[in-house]
Amino acid sequence: MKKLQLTLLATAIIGLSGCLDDGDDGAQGVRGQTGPQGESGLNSLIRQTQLAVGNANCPNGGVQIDSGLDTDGDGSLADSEVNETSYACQPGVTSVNSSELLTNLNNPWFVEAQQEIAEARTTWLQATSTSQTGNATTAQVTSYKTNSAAEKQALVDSLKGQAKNVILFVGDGMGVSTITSARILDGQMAGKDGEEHQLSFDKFPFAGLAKTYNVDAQTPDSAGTMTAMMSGLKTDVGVIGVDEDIVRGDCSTVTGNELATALELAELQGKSTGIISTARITHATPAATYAKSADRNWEDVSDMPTAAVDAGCKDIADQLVNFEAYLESRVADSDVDGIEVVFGGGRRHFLPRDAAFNSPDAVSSVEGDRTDNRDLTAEWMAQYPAGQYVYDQAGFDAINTETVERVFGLFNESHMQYEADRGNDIAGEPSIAEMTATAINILDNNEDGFFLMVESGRIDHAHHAGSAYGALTDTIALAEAVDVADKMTDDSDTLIIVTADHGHVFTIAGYPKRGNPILGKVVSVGSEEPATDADGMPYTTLGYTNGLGYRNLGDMVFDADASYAAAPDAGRKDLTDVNTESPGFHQESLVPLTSETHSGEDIGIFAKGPGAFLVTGTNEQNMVFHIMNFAGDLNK
Amino acid sequence: MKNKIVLSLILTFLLLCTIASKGLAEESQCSGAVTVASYKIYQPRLDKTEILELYRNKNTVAHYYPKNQITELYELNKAGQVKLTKYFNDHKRGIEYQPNDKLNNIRNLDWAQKYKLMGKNFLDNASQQIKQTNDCGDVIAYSITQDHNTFVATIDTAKDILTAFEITDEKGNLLEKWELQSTELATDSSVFLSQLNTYQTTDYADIGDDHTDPFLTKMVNLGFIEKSSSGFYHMDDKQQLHAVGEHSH
Repeated sequence: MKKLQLTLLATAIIGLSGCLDDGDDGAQGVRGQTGPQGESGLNSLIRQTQLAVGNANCPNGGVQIDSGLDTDGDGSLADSEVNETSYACQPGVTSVNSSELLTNLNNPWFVEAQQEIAEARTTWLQATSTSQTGNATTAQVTSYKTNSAAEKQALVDSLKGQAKNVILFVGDGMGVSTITSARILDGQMAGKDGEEHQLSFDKFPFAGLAKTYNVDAQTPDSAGTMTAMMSGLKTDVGVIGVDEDIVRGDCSTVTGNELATALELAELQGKSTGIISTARITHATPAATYAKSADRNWEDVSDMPTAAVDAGCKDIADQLVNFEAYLESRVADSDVDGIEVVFGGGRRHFLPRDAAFNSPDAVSSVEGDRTDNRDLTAEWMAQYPAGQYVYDQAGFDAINTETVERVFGLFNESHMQYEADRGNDIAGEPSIAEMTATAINILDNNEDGFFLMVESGRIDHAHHAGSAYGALTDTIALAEAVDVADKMTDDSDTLIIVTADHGHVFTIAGYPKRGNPILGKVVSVGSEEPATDADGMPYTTLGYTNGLGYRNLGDMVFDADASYAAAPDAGRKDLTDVNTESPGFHQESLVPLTSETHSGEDIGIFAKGPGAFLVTGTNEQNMVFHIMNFAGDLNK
Repeated sequence: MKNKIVLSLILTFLLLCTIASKGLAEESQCSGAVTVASYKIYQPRLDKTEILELYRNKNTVAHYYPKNQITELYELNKAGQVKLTKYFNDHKRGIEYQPNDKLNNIRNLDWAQKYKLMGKNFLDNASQQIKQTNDCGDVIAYSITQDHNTFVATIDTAKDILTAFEITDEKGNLLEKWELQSTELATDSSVFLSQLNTYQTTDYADIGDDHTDPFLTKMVNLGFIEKSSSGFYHMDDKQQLHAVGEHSH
């Protein structure tokens, strides 16, 4: 069988060969003669050149290989003789040790910043999630698509009202430079360099800026700014809880221009409400939470023009004590239960101008200012027999937060003490952190939630007096109060906002080295001696653009307002032998004024909790109300 | 007889009345501190003269400077603190200051300095010389030398009032002289103090918050405080201390 196959294969090949042949080959010819000897051939040479890192052909270095014929026979390969070039490159770096990346990936600043980014992303995803508090879903959504206006509205509605509780902290006059320097001081008091330190609200995940101007003022005051934050619209300087159609000081223009406040909306929703201020509780900032007044100075009836009284305008203290009745009269068919917590100073505006009504710790011979002979503390107690009126530390400490229905605490005749001077109060005063804790413990007894406004009012006063020490220590006290509130509440149902009403002309200047005492003189990087100005005199890091200027009241003197006892002393002073870190030192100022002024710069907003993600970018200050309103769905 | 008895009774009555009257008069002379006083204060080197009127009522003292229309009102409270209110009489306005305490300016801690115009330290440390004695008390000269200057204050202890004060240098040159001019003024102390109480006051801490109030704005722009009484003594801090009788070791 195999033979047959071979045969067939051979036949096929023969057949094919037959098809390719043109004819038969001829016979071979005779071999010719040997030719002449040829010339010697050329040598082929190779040249190798080491290439450094960064070479265009071998970025990681290597060898360049040139080859060609040695046409000139000199034994070396000239460039003109190269007819081929190739490269043997080093491979790229695929791994490095940590030491090689010490200045980058392993740098602690770099690592911490990366972590912050990761945390911020997570926070943002959680904050913008459609998941509702208490719902099981954990879906994270970063964009929303809706098919109709109704659907869009429904989506917005689903994001509203996640904050059962809203706490607004206001550092009066706490501009950005104040926060920065308070942060450094707090850190330095804890033994750190200071700059890397964080105040409690520095750690909040969301922050933005607010433009503070009033409708009629480039540089604002507390009345206009706090009205913006509490009522959602900007208004004029110096007026409380009324819009820009008001004429300051004209009682007749109040009616019809009154504004609702976040605190009032919370009341109408059945939430508990509270107000805390280290200033007089009738001062502009706290007043904007509850009062409507054509003038911030109408704190009691004696401060008002007779015409305003006769026209029926009510003083601010009266509006606080009778808040419940006034709100119900403005809102038809409403039934509110009044403010549960009031802590602050300002007894003078609630008591008659009669020494018989003096509190045990009165500092004036006649404590009260009221000329209508009304004792508003007595009226409050008559109105709320289950409430508790307190005026000193002992009374404050005795409050049972779980059983008391409401409290009214007036701890000073005028403003409460600066935090640094609090120990000097006759009958003792609680700190702003203590007041915050007690307030929350009372307010959270309401299952429907609460609204609380806490003002650190004396940051502003210390700045006005030119005392950075006073302003910074009160800022630190506020940060402690924020920390207390944060720890006592749940991020899932409590929106906390920390902001200011305006800034001050307070600067951090020069080129002090890292860790240089923030209250000290400027010591430059690499130096141990204070830097000097053109006149050869040392200068401080902190200073004011205007105000009373230099004061050296010594180590044992803090009261910032002691500076008002003498005329302004602006301009440069020789601080060589002055301890600028002492509590009694007041920073220099450029423009001599008997009181340092507010500034018109933006202020910071810091937030956490439901709705906090809305705090971003640069906003009009009245945005603060709308964030609280959205998060708490206060006007539903 | 009856007439003699009647006459005798009348004479006895008149005698008793005379004795009682004398007693009341003596008691009146020793009735205590004067409530109003006026001083002329002269600084020859500056050729400067100032009038100071003093109004006192228990724990309230007013220092009124007519030239500048400024009054410094001091109140001593139950806690021993001294509270200052500075009135600008022309404007019928006042600025209230924080009461003083142990951390505050020592000058404002000394009630004697406000009430008697001589500080407690000065009175405690000065040498004393009785210049005059009467039924109600003594007139005492207090003197002390410090930094080459001699300070002499004369106080009528019966009336609890400074009657004279002088500062001289080591060569005996007069630097400053206070003279008590009168203890009877047109306005009674209680009337003057009551009038101050009707003026509108502003807390010192609130000055910077309101730039629309014409009075406060004027203060901010013009440095009102500089024109106050204390400005009179602003030759230097040391002299200011001396001039108000404060003395410390």
